Amino acid sequence: MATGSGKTVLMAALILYLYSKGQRNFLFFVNSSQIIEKTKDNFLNPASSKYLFAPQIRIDDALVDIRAVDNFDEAIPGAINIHFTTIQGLHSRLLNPRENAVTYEDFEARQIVLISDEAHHLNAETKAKLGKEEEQEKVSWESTVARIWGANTDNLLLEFTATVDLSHPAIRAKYHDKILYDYALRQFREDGYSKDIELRQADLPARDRMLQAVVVSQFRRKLAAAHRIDCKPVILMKSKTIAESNANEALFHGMIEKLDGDALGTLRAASLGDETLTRAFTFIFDERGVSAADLAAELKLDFAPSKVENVNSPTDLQARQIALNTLEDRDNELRVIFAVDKLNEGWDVLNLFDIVRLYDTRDGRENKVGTTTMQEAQLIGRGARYFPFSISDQPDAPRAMRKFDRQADHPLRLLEQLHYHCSHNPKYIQDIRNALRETGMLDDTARTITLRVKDSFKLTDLYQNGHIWLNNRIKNPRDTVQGLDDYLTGREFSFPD
Amino acid sequence: MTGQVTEATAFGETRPRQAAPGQEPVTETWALSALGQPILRFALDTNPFYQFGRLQEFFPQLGGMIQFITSEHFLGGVTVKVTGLAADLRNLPARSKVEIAQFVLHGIEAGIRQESVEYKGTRDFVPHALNAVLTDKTLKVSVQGETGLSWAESKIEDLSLIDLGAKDWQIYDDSYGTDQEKHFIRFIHDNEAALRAIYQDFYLIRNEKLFQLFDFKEGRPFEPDFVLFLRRADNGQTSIMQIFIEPKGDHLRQQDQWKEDLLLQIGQVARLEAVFQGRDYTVYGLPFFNEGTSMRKPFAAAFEHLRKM
Repeated sequence: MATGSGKTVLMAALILYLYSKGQRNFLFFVNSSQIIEKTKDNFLNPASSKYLFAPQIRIDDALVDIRAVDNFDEAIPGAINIHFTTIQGLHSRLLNPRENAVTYEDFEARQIVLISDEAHHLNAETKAKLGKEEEQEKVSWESTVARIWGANTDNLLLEFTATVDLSHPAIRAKYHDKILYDYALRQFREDGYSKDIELRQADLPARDRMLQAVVVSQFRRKLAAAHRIDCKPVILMKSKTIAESNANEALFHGMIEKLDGDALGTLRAASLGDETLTRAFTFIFDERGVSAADLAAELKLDFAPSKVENVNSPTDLQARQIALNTLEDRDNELRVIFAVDKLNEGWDVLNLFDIVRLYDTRDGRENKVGTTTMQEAQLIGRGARYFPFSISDQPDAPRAMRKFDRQADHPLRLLEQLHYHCSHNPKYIQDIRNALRETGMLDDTARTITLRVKDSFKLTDLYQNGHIWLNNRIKNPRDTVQGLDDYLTGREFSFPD
Repeated sequence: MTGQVTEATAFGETRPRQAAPGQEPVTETWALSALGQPILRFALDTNPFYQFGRLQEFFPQLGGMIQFITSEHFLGGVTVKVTGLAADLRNLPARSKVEIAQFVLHGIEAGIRQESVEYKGTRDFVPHALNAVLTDKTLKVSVQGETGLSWAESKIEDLSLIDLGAKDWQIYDDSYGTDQEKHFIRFIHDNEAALRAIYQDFYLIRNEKLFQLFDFKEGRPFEPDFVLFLRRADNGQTSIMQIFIEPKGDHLRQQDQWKEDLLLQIGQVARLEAVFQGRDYTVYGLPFFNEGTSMRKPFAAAFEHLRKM
């Protein structure tokens, strides 16, 4: 299932379903502790904005608790008991049994549902030729899981992944009769659940490209507000190394600190022919009547150092993972993230609208896409999750789906686009296009067309004075409802059925 | 936990065998209220559907939970046929009573949910100035398939021989519709002379997210693909017929049946001011259009019927 298409929601739904079928013990495992934190928040913390369950869970008229357990001896019969663990941690605890931790015995006497997230990490053994990292994974992951699963014939193993490499023959053979659902990124995008990718290139130094992204980001925020949509767009500043990332962050703070109206005026003068920037300045300066000096003052506040996060130090990544996963919350004021490559699997963000590539190297050759470029494409794919919103003139349009594919000139289409800001490098642009096409994120087959009302029709009496008659929708007033008879055909029931 | 029950009844395990005398199951009809208010209240509390605020959405006139529990119109009028051993039925433990109450409440909930609708489409149609509704449109289309092709680029045979840009009845300067939509435009082209015989003007508007209708029963939104205006002027009186049309691929016909139902109801159900700003308006819908299937015939007949009205 493509990133953002609802793996975690589906896990939650399956947990409830399997509970109703009698399962009580669930083992959730994944390769990264960051994802554990995020998932615990999803499953266990009702105060989190990303909590997935209803405030009260009732199954067959009984209240059901969701509990995290350290081992399955702690499990309670009337509850959903989940043991969260990294696959590495699970492996080492099983190899070195100690008190109050899970053991193989835990799995023998009980039925367990194993839920494996990012399950492609479990295929090390299946692939005949192993990479170095995979060689280490071999003894632990796939075999540990297989042993737990085999401990009780009633155990279930559910695997979830966004990237299963079905082009590998052994993996295809392993899964050919086991795939329940395949929802690829391409399908996800075509179904309208992602942002559209817009590639921008500018022949400018990093500092100026950061400023461009800041202006575009602020344009988004103001445009959304003008349509009564609460949206705080976030920018990802991507560097090649940690040292460069820190230097870029210093450069950014310096630039924002010295920002004044003149600098913005200069940027506007230089943005002729840049459609997005031109629209941004037209909207902010002309339509909203904001002066250049006022905009500079506003940006200094909105992009002050306290609203910028650098996520390259691994020490407190776990603590920051929560902040980075609540970027959409009202009280989260982060606008800019500086990073190298920490934000990979499990980063769950909807309001990322700009990625600035602060370096200019390419690793593609001829028609072959390089590894780095492919990783960048995957990052873009993760960032391209749709930011849900609703608008008054499309009351029935789902919040979480693109609304303007057939209204490409609608201003709010800006909230359905992710801008990838690169330097001017046509060869790289070609590389990244190829990579995005390969991952299913880019649709080269789209064309934009304009349908015009003929001038001859505009002269007719029908156009100038005529009307079209349409009906409306009203909430069903149910004002004639007297009692149950208005809904039920009979009022006699039989027990047992 | 059901007491001393041992027999093949609702309250025991099922073991088919010859029942001893006095041990056959009996079925009795009880008023639900006979379970007693404490039992009913307990069962109601375990089901969030029966929170009062929720109930009021479905029963705006409901005054309170006591009324819901006791009134003839609500639970007071509900009965349940219970099958069990006579002795058991006389001595039912509270847990079994709760089970019965919960079972009935689930049945009622399911019935209400199934029958209730949140919205309705109004019978009243209101006028919108055409020059406000009708605008130029920019769309993103996929080049794969017929919807990515203009009229001139279409793969449908001989379509490009018809100069759509020059037809004054075609409102937009081009068409990127599905093959069925393009077939329908050609149908209008083929009927141009027949229409001109009766009407001074006619105009075909492709609905590119311009407007929607709402089905009367449930208020589901529907954007018909086309609206056709037929204009006739007799003795200074202008009458305008507004006809909604939806070409439909055969494979979508069944799931979209409600849309066709709406189209066919409009002529009968819609209420509008007969004369508005000196013009006489009527509103109709036609059955689905599909070139080359059995749908074509009823469409053509209905079209012909309307044309001559």
